[in-house]
Amino acid sequence: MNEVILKLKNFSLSYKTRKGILEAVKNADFELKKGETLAIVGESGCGKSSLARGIMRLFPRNLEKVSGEIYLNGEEILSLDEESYRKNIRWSKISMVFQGAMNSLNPVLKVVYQVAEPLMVHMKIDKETAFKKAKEILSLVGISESFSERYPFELSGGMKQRVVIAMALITNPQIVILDEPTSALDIITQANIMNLLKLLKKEFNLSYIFITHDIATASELADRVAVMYAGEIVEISPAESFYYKPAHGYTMMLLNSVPTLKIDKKLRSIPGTPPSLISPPKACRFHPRCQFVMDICKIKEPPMFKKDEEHFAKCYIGESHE
Amino acid sequence: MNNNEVLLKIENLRVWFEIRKRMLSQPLYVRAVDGINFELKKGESISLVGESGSGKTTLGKTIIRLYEPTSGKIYFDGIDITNLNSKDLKWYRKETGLIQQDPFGALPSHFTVYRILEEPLLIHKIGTVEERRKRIFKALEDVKLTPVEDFSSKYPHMLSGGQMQRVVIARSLIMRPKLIIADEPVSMLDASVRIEILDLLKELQDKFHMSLIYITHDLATVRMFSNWIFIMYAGNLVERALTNELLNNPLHPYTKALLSAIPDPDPENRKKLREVPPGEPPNLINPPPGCRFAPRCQYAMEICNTEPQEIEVQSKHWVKCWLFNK
Amino acid sequence: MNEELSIYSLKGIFKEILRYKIGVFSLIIFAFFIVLIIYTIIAIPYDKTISLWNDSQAWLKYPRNAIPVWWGFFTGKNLPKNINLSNKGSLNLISQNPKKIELIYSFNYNYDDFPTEFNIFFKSQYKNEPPILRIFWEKPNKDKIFLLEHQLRSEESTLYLGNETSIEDKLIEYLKSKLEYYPPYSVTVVRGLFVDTSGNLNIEKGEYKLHIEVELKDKDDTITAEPIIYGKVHGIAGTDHLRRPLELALLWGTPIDLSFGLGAAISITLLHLILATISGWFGGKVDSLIQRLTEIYMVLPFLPLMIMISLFYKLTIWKLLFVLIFLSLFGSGVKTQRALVLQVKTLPYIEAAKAYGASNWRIVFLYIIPKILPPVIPNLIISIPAYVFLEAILSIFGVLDPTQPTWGRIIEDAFQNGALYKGYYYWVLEPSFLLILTAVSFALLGFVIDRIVNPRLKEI
Repeated sequence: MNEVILKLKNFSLSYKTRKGILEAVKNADFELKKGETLAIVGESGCGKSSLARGIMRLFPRNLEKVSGEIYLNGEEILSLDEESYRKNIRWSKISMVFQGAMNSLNPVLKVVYQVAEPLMVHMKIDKETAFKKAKEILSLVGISESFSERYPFELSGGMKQRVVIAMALITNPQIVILDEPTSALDIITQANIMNLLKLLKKEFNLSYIFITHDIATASELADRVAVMYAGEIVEISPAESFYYKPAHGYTMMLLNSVPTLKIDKKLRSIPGTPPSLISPPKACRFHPRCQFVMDICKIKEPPMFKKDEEHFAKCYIGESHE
Repeated sequence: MNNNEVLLKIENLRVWFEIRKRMLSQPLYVRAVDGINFELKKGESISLVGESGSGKTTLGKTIIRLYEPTSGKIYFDGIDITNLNSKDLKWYRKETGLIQQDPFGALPSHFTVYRILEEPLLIHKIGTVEERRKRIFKALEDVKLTPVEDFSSKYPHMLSGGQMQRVVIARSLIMRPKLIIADEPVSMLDASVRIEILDLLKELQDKFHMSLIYITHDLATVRMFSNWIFIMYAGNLVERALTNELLNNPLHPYTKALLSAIPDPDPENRKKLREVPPGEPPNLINPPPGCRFAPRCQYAMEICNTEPQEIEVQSKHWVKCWLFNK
Repeated sequence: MNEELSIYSLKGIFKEILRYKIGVFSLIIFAFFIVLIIYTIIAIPYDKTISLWNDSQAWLKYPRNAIPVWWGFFTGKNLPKNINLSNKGSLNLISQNPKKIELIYSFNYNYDDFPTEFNIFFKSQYKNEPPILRIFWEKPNKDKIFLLEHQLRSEESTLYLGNETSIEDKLIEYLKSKLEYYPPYSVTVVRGLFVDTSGNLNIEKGEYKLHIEVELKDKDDTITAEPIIYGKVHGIAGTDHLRRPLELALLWGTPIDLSFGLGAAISITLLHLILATISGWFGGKVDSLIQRLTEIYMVLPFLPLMIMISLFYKLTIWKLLFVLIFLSLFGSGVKTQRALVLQVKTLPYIEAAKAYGASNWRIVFLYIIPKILPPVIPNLIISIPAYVFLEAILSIFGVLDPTQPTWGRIIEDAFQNGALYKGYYYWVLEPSFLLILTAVSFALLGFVIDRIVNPRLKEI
């Protein structure tokens, strides 16, 4: 359980745009342990999807620069050439459930074929074996044999999402990146998918990186939570401290803006809009919207403070900073 | 104003969409809304909760006559509006407003905010240029898009999602309608702005004493402002009650499932599985006979194969389930 | 995308275009065309142009099939320009009774090539009998050759020296006396007048003099002469077989052709847009009717029909525009734009408009058409040169009204007169160049605007 499987060091990612360089991810640092789920939460456009795709080395065409180090099982993989990365890492070690992937299934191929495809493409396994394996995985995610011979349009949304999860699992990866895996689904289906993900994690001792904008959904899986704001990881902590003792101003305000069913609390939204990643605010990037803002926040970029055991936050709150 | 006056009365409303019409084959129908009854008083609000495909949007849009009802009656302010002709329909358009889910798509991108807000006034031939200007600026103030001069000259794409949705709200309120249908007004917005939009909607609803039907799939947001919660499943209203009553005392198995499926931010969640019914809502072309939730219901009995009647179990708490229909 | 400007404002589009190099390039070409058009309209009145263009007498003093002056530079020779001697003359009175005068014109001829023609335009007033002329030619070596004696035939008459075989004979005589043998080249009048006495076809450069002795029959008779030695180069665009300066047609061809193209493209696109929107929005029977009509239209042989109609009715370019619009009414644009309409129709803002009471026609004209206009505009722009070409093609087939000076007309004239065969390349290349420039500029602008209004094509 304590074995570190993935480690990011100073991982940065920037894109070229017509208005300038967009710094999508800045100095991301974290570790992922075996069998652990790290949830990365943040508003849309905060860079969480870029981070996930960056780990998969799926860069857009307008990539400006990628820097830092990524260690998988202690081996640096960011500097690998594309060919060996594709052969040895992508999908076979790290796979991904893309946002909205259920709607991009190939409409003219049977689902079993689509699930088996990573095996045939990435591992060069023959069709028959691959199909057999695909059917096994499909039944594991709750899709019966009869449905595996169908086409995507014959399946409901929840079932398509199960197919997508099966595609991510078929190569027996160690890490699965889940990018908003339930955002387009109904609540009950969402809960069903979450249940499935929990079961699969136990079954295969998987590590998840769970990308979501929804703090409530994040709590369904997260062992640890990293909060991203404007391209930076501003707080990273075990789930308990995140929900009960948030340390960053942004996290506190975020938790305060989420309506909940059981607790009838006065909600408060975060004023303003997320900053542009082309010219983010100086010093602490959240200071223009922060209700706890102090003078220092506007002058000096806060370092990662250690707030507690395994709990780090880039925030001056509660620190003596003079 | 008499608070007990009924604004909207729906009687046995059905909205079926015909599909696959071939020359000789029987037409098939999607029974999107299938037999709905309720009343809404002036100034009150309903949260219409259901999953996608439950018919909640169809119901909302049929109430404001964007869809034609197949059968049943809709009374608005005592007037039967089920089959209005186009002239009276224009009057009805003035009395009702629609707030849509997607603010990016709900605004014509080729108009400025000013023009967007002026459109309803122009269509209903209201006021002079100067009067319209005042009314538009007032509407922008109401939704807190100030300074109004700046915002009124912008195009939608220069606004953030939250600001766009404010414009949508301003537009739907500019005719001072008596009834607003808000169809998932915040589901496409960032979590951080949802609350302020819902707060604004609530504030304006009270200010102008409008009735509101808030359509959502997200039960977590309904506590904020509605008097009533209606739970819709596969074209039927399965349970309706006052908000707190329903949240604290859900009776229908589907309502219970829905409530238990909603995650609250709690790190304990990850340690347990949720108790939710398996499967997904039925196909509305060929729904199960009787109770439509029966195939997924853990309490299903034989009698569930015949359709249950909606009964008032307690005062102001109706359920459509055989468990309470003895 | 620029946050402050919308693609629905002209300024916004303009700013966006300037971000692309090819956009700037096409705008420069447009600026060129616009300057050309403004100059044309101000400087050369249209009515006058048309009447001059079709008046065979108006251009007698211009050289025939002269190449443009600048074209001459590429030949490496100093080619002759028109030389009008009327203001280089002097008048000597020889005797009072009978009245005899001598008109002497002297000029330097330093060109490297022979002129093409030599005509003298006379105007005279006489009582009883027209004056009698005796014409002498004085070469730079002071040899004076008698060319001919001639009696005017009317008050205004022209003497075409090149057509007088007697002059040829006299010149041959002269050359033979100098060379002591017959010249080894065929001697035409203009050659004979300007050739040197080396035996080769070389120009004798230097000062020439033309003497015209006039015998006036009455003392009140008058005469003026306008001798013109026709050059081989003329103007910036050259002249055609009817001596008309091509720049006139090229200049007026610009507004005529562009307004034809623009008019056709805009009206056809707009009509397609309206039909497509009506078809897509109302659906049902209206939709079926419009779609079936479109399909019928699409299989009609368009060009042959156009040619037939133009042939039967000898259309002017503006009538052609109407026929063209009518024949393109239900074109393929209706189909493609209907697909756009069907997409836009489902957008929430249309539903919102319905919900606040907008009528069908309001939705069609204020909500759908402006929305699908941006993706249509690039096609509109790209289609402009297509219509300009169509006009040119029909002109080349010779089925259009020949009185309009258009680019296509010039090419047609050139072909009719074997321009390429005879080596008058400028005659074909000039209008072709303008046609291609039009096509390129509109195409580039279309591509740029396509990128701007269709974000899918935009690079991130």
